[in-house]
Amino acid sequence: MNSTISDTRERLSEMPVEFTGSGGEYFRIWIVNLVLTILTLGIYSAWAKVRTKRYFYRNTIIGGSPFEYHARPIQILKGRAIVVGAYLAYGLVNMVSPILGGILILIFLGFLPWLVVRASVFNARNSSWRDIRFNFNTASKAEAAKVFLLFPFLSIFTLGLLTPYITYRGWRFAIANARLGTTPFKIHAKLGKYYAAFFISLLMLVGILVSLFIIGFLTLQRIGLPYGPESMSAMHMQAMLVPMLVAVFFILATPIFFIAYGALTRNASLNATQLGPYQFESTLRVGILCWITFSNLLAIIVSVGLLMPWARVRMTRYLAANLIMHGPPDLDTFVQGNRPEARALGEEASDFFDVDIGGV
Amino acid sequence: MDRVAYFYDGQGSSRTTVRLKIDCQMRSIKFQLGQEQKWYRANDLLISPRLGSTPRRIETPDGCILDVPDNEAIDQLINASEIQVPGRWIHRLESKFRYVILSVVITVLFVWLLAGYGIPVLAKHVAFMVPVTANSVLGEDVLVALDKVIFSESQLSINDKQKLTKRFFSVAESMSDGYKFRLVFRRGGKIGANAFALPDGTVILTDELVEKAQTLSEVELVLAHELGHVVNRHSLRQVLQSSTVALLIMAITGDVSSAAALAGALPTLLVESHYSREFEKEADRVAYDYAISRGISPRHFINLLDRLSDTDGDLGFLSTHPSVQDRSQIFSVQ
Repeated sequence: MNSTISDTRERLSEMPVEFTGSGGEYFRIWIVNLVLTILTLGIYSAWAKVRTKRYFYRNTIIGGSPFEYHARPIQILKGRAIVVGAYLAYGLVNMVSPILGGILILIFLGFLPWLVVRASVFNARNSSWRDIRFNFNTASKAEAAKVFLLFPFLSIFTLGLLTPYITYRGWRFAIANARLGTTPFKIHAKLGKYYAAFFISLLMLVGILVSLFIIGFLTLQRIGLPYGPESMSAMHMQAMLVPMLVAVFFILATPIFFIAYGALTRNASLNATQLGPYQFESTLRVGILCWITFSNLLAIIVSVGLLMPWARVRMTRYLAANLIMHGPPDLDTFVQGNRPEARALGEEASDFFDVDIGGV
Repeated sequence: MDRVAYFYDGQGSSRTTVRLKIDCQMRSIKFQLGQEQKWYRANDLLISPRLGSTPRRIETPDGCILDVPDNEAIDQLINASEIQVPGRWIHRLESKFRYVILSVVITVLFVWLLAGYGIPVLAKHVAFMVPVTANSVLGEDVLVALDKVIFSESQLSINDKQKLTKRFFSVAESMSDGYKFRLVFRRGGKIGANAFALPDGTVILTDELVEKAQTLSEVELVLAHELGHVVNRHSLRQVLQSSTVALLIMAITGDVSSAAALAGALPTLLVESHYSREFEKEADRVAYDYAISRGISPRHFINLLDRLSDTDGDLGFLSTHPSVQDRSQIFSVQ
C-alpha cells in the first residue's frame, strides 16, 4: 500500500477550484437582469437565470478549464410558467375548499421524488466541463422517495435524531447518482461523521442561546415586560425595543447552527468523494464561513441590497478555493460516451421543471 | 491576428492549446491541431454572447469547442462578418456606466412604487373580494388566546358596561353590515389602556382605557377607530401585503440563501411598519368622519391620545402607529 502511494505521488497534484468572477462585473449583470425582468413583467427572469448561471459556471475553473451551463431560457420559462400556474391553481382551490387544497398538497408530495430526480437530471445534463456533460441516474426515483419523503416523515417521530442520517443519504443521493461523461462519482462517507457534525453544531447553538437568554432575562428584569401590538405611548415602544433586539440576536444565532452543520457535513461528504482517479478535499472552516455570512449580511443591509452581487461572489470564491482536487494533473481521462442522449434533452416534456433542490 | 485558444474535441477531456488565427477580411478562423490544419468560416460558427470577461465559447460545425480568452478579437470578427449573435446588446447595457446607473434608478423606483402603492392597492381589492364571513373565522381563537396570556376579567360596573355597549352599537350601526359586531370588556393588565379590533367585528376594550377617558365621547371615537380597522379589513390586508412583500424581497435578493433571508428582515420590518401606520391613519379617518356625522367634536379623540402618550419619544420609521402630532392633523382638518 505504502509503496504504491509513493510511486504515484510524483504524478499526483493538488488542483484547487478557482473562481475568477468579480463583484463589480457581476453587479452589472445582476442589475441589468433585474431591470429587464421588471420591464418584461418577469418573463426575462428565465434569460436572467441562464446568464447568471453561465457567469458563475464560466468563472469556475478546474485545471485551467471553465464549466459551461447549457440550459435554454425557454425551457426554464416553461418550467416557471407551470410552477406559477400550479401555485395559483392551488391558491384558488384552497380558497374554495381547504380540504381539496390539502389533497392537492398530498398529490404534489407524491410527485416530489420524481421532481427532484428530474431537476437533478436537468441540471446535470445542462452542465459540462471541457465539453463533457454531466449526467444523473434517472433510475433513482425510489431512492429519492426515501430520502426526501419517507425519512423526513419518520424524522417527525424521532425528535430530529434522524436528521444526520437524512443529510448523509441526501449527499449520497446527489453524488453517487452523478457522473461526468462515462465516469461515475463515488462517495464512501461514514455516517458517524454526520452525527458528530450534528452534535457539534447543536452544542454551539445551545451555548449561544443560553448566554443570550441570560442577557435577555437580565435586561428585561430591569426594564419590564413587553407590551402588546396596540400599545400607544412612546414608553411602550421603547420597552418593545429590548425584546426586539433579543429576537434579532435569536434570529442570528440559529443560522450559526445551519452554517456549522452545513459546512461540517459538506466537508465530510466531499472529502469522501471520488471521480475516477481523482479524490476531492473540502477544507471549509465554520468560523470563517460565519464571518463571511454575517459580514455579507451587514453589507447587504447597509447598501439596501446593492452589495448583494459582491456578497455572492465573495461567498462563491471562498467555497471554490476550499474545494481541492487531487489526482493526475493532465485531467484527460474523461470521455463523453453516449452523446445523443444529452442532445435530445430539449424534447423531453419532463424538462419543463427547473427546480433547484439540494446537492452539490 | 494570433490568439491563444483552448481546443476540446467534444469526445474526451483533453485540452489542447492552439494559436488561433482570426482573419477579419476573409471572415474565417484557422488553427493548427497536431498535423491537421483546421479552417472554419465565421458564418458557420456558433459564438456565445459576451459575458463579462469570461472566455468566449465557439462551437464549430463538427462539434468541437474553442475557448477564447480574448473577447475583443472575437467581437471584431463578429462585427466584420456581420454574424447574428442573439443577446449581444445585453453586454452593451452591462458595459456602459450610464445604463447601469439607469438600471439602478429604475429598479429602486419600481420597488419603491410597488411596495408603497402597488401592493397596498392590490391587497385592498383582493381583501374586499373575500366574503365577510371568511373574516369571522379569524376572530374567536385570538380572543381565547389573548384571554389566556394577557387579559383578566373586567372590573367595570354593569352600569358602565351598558352605557358603553349602547355607544358601541350606535357606532356599529353607522358601519357596513355583515359583521357580528360585539364589544367585550377586559382588564388589560400589562398592556394597560388599549383597545383592539378582531377581524370578525369583535372589539376589546380595556378597563384602563375607560378609566383614562374623561368623557364617553372619547371612548366612542376610539370604538369608531377600532371598527374602522374592521370594516376596512386591515387584518386581511396586512396578511396579504406582508406575504407579497416577502415574495418581492425573495425575488430581488434571489439566490443567496440564508444571508438574503436575514437581510430581507429589516426592509420587511420597515415596510410593514409603514403599512401599519397607513392602516392607523385610515382608521383615524373613519373615526373623524363618524365624529363629524354625529356632531361630536373630533378633538375628543386627540385629547385621549394625548393623555395616553404621557412620555415623548418616537420610533419614527419603526413605529406601528403615527405620532400623536401626525394624528391630530387628520382631526384638525377644517
